[in-house]
Amino acid sequence: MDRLPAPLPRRATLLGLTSVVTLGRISLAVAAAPTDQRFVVVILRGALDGLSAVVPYGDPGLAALRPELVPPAPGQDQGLLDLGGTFGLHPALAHAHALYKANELLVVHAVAGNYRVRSHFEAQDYLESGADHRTSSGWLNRAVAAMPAARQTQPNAESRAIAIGPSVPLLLRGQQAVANWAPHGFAEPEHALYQQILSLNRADPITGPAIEAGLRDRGFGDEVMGGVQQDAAKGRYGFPALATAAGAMLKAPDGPRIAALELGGWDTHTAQTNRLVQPLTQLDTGLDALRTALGDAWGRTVVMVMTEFGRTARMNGTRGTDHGTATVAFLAGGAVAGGRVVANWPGLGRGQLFEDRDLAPTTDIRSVAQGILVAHLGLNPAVLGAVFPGGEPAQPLRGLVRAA
Amino acid sequence: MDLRTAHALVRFGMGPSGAQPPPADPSAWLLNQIRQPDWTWGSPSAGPLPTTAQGLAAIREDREDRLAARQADLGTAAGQAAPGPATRQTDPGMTDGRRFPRMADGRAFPGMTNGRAVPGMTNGRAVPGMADGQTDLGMADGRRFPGMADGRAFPGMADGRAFPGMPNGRAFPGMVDGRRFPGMVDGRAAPGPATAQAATPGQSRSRTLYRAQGLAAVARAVMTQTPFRERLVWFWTNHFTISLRRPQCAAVAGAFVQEAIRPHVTGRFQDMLLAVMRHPAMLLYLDNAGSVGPDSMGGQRSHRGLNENLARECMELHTVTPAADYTQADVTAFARILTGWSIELRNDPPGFVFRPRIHEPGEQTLLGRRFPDGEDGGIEALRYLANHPATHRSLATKLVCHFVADTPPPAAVRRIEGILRDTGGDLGAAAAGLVGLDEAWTPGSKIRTPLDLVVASFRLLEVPPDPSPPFLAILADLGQPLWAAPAPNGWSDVAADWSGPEAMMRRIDWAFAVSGRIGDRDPMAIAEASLGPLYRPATRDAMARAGSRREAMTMLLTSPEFQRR
Repeated sequence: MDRLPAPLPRRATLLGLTSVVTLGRISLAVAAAPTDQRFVVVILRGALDGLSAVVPYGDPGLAALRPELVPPAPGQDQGLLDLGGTFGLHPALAHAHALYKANELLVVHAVAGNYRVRSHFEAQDYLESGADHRTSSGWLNRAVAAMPAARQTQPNAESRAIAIGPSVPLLLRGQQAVANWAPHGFAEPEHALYQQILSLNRADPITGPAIEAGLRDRGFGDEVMGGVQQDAAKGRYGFPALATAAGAMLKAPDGPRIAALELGGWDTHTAQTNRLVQPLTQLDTGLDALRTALGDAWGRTVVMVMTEFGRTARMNGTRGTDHGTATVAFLAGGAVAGGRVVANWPGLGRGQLFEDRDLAPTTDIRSVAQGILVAHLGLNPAVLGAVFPGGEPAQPLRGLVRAA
Repeated sequence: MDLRTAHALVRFGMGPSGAQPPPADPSAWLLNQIRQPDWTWGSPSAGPLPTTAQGLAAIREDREDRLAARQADLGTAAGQAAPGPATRQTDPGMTDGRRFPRMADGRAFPGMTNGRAVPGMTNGRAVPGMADGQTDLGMADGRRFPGMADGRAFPGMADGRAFPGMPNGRAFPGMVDGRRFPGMVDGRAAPGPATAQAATPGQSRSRTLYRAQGLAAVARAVMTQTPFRERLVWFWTNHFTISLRRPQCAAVAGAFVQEAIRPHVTGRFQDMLLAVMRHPAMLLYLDNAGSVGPDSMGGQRSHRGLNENLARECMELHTVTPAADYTQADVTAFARILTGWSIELRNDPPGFVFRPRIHEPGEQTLLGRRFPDGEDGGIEALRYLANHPATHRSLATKLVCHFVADTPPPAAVRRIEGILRDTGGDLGAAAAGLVGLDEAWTPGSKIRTPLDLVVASFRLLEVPPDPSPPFLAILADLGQPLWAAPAPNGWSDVAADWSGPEAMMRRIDWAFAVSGRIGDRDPMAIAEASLGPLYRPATRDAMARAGSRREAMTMLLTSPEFQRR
């Protein structure tokens, strides 16, 4: 279906998802969209280890910090996917690598917000609020609200932005009305969460054995419970399915232009090498699904993938990593000036780590967001202070998107 | 919060509510709920919940619509006029003819050559639209609701935003702005599947009523400020199970709870029993509406007979239980006693009716007692069964099972049994007795049923259930569809029946889904404030390490301390 009817029927069928994608009353009936550009933000909750997703294998300090966490060098079996000699993508990010080679993926490394907390919840709030204090609205909502008034002619302006998932993340909350969509039914949590729930229940004589058997019955074998996850397909509720739905909605001429999605499973305190495979595969498959679903609109799309902070540069005592500081962000899409790793690389050697434990932050994540909002969505730079209030103003990064 | 308070909230209440401060004195708080009136909700601007009379009217109108549709089909097919009004003189109490053949051999009743021997009597196939039992499908217009002035399905339900009695949803605790609500953005109804499906054309009136009543019932459990009373309501509703397995019950299930159960949960058991046995939902569910005394005038002319379903279940499940050593003769006698207890859909208002014409004449002997014929004989018999020692023992066992442990301690059962005996079946006194049982204050000895879990989760999160069929589908997915137990003995009250592996996995998946509604609140603060000492350090530690609020909330909702009550 190329064009979503307006208003949509109660159950619409999108791209072969048949009745799985229940659009409900989602209102995509806006004639004049504010922009023809598409912008998707993917929030990775739980703190992605940037040093595992985009491995600085050329940094001589890396191996000593985390010998067991570094994948084989590029060219070897299950080896890194090279990004030009210094950095390599995690082998689970094959689609992302293809995008990189097509100049449609930009990596921003050693990036962090303007906060230095290691609490997931606080850091996610800052990441999404974009302020130097906690607010009740998010920077993307304020950005949508600040988009040129001439383009806000439709009363049903909520269709400009949509949150894909069970709730509207802080990022999109605020004065500007936004839409929200999620497939009906139960999403399955990340497998790591199942594991944690099992361990919390293990001593219970009723719930413990039931959950253990339930996981087994669903085919999560012992190997999987140990962390290896081969099956990336998570059905209709998984990130790829949500990404497909988002792409279909964004593609529609009358559809929303801005979407936010979330993906969890990144809090890899233990057995990180195994546990990262599944969420990375989800992310990779999801980006590809989004690209496919967007079709021609991919060329006018920027996808920003961000997480609340990075993880310790050193491996901890359980073959995982703990909460850290700087990490990686991705920009993907046909509108991205990709094929590059943008980093003011701080180094991993002695004295170069932040507080002697984390990758040091050298780029403010807000600069990345601002660079997209201005260059891609046409946001007036004068309103950036209102969209990202407080503290030292970050400067929008330039050159993130292709010249139109 | 001390342990006793925390425990009172989960064992006797419906789970701690984020919106309500914990009581200072848990025992006094519980006992006050017995003494004081039920919590009331709603606002004058909202319409009342549908009554039994309105539900019966919906059944009638659904049936007439089906009949009209069938006649139209017949007329078209045969190329002739549809049957006249005489065909419509069906016995409203005779709601599902398919149940009768089990009394015989599955074929037509002896002497039944056509559907007109007795006005209204059919062999189950002569009632147009009823033969397949699909009583609530294929309605052309589900939006019209009898008794509603504006013709909308249900006050406030049409757009999914408001609950019955809650005009704009703002009555929900904790709803200051729209942000806490899924499907609501900035306090307005947001687009989304959850808000899309109220009062839909193509749904029968009965089904529409069921949804409205079901949602209201769960919303009430989520919001109530007298949660001990509410638990008693759900307990007694399950004791007197009616079920959508008999589809006609859909239209009156909620009204059954409101009219037959709720008013009596701290009253006398005999009053509740009588209200239940006269309620159309029970008369439909257990087939008594069409039970005919063989020697009655109607029985003689129609050769119809008894349906002992209600009589048997009332003795076996609701009152004395097989422990009373009753015989088939007792069941038959009781069934005769109850003949004529039926429903009239064409009355205004429609409702219970005693039909002398099909009531079995003559005295009956039940458990060695003689009861006169007539409606009063049935009332007397019910009063006798209600106050039978075996009934007291059975009720005490069930109450202790629910409020103490899956395996009821005999001493506790004896205490409650004694209270019921000494007070003439005073259910308020029994409830107070449960509060006074030391055994009832051992935390975590019960596993929450899916319904319990869902309500407790919504209370903890301070969010209302989704005002839409997906919400009711959740209960079905979790294995406990609302008012739809598979059999008259209701839902199990023991852990073994709720802790299957897949069932537990679905709980986890649902917990993960509902935890998406945590918003920007702190799950650990919620846990501390509402669970107090029940909150285990292991859960706290795991939540502290969780990758997101949502994951932390999922851990809380799936933790042993939350799965248990």
